[in-house]
Amino acid sequence: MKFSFGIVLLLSSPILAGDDQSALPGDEPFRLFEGEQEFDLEYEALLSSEIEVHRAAMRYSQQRGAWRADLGVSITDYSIDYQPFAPLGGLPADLSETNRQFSLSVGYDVSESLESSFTINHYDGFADFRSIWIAEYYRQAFNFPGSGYQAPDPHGFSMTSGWVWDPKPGTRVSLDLNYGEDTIAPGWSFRDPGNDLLKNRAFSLSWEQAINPSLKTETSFTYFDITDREARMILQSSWNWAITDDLTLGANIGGSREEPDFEAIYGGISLTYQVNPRLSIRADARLYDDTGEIETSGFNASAPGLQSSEVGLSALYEIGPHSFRIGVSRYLTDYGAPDPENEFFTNLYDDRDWWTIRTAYSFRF
Amino acid sequence: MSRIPALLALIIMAALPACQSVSIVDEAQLGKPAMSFNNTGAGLSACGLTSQLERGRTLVQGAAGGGCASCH
Repeated sequence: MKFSFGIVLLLSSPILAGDDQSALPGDEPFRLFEGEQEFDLEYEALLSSEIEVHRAAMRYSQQRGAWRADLGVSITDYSIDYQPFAPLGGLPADLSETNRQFSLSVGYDVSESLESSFTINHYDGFADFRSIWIAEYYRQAFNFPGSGYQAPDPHGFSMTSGWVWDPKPGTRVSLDLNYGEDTIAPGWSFRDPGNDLLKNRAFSLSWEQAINPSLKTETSFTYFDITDREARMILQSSWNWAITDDLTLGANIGGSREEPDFEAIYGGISLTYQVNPRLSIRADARLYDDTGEIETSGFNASAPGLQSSEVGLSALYEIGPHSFRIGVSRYLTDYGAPDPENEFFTNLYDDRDWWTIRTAYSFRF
Repeated sequence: MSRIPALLALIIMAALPACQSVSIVDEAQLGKPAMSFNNTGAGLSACGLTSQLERGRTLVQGAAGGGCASCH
């Protein structure tokens, strides 16, 4: 925490801001930190009795004239109490992994109503806790002489070209084109690893529209194309309604589909109450239901159908350019019975009761 | 999922009578964190880590994201 406040003080210091009192009139030294700037610090956690995920992130953004730069880094730590499915053997293990991400985005205001941006993103390490569990299963099953087993080295990158168009007050249309490659921990059979390189292409279009001064909606459509898979489409609609000056109701509903038989549907509501000019409290509730994943990338580690629910409470405190958020939620996951072909992942897809935590600090200057 | 487009169309039609023009003076109200769909940092309330389990809800992420969105 001392580190984060040190960064804030550094960013606002006259030295880096270039406030050199001895500068001659007409001399305008380059100032690294100027213009409209934002600095965010975040911490999130997803906690259950066997699995813990902790994520810390930092983002800095600067708008200078028509240009905007956005830099982000994050670290995610995973701790897993790995338990093999007993009848098929294997050993319990305490697993610990770290994922590091870096992103850089540059935006340019083409006109008063149109902004374009280009974002690159790179990560190193397992992208989620599930792939760590699955990789440990294959390590125990195939890491012996002559098997051809190689330890996984998951990493990846993505590039996104984005366009945001604000044709009139209350209307915004956004378009994102994304390409990425992920080197994953592959599934194994004897001397035969599965495909470990996945190429992803995505197209996303969203339309935000103010219906009137107190009602706003956003509709988005996303199309995914991933190696060895049929295309996946996601459609979502969100609504925010300011019932009074102090009370805002939010709602969203969405669904996704991938041939031949994956479907998901989800929805949620939120209520935000402005207690006073500085403090607002928000309550959230949502549900999610899917039919279970399709076999991917030449091996079967796919999840059975999932039903989940979440209720949460968070508080936002704003004072001048500083904002603080703290929130906690109870998150329940309920999986269907695993397919007989992948029952060795029964303990991975166990029903769990989770807690989530989110804290964040933002500084606008 | 196949019912979602029809449901959205129904919701939009139901909202049509509420349509009013919005001017620049309304942007303060419409731009509050509680009314925004694109919050970041302290303005965002949801913990993003739950997307590791809900594979059908995951969206492509830009500067803040990374990794394969819906694969192993």
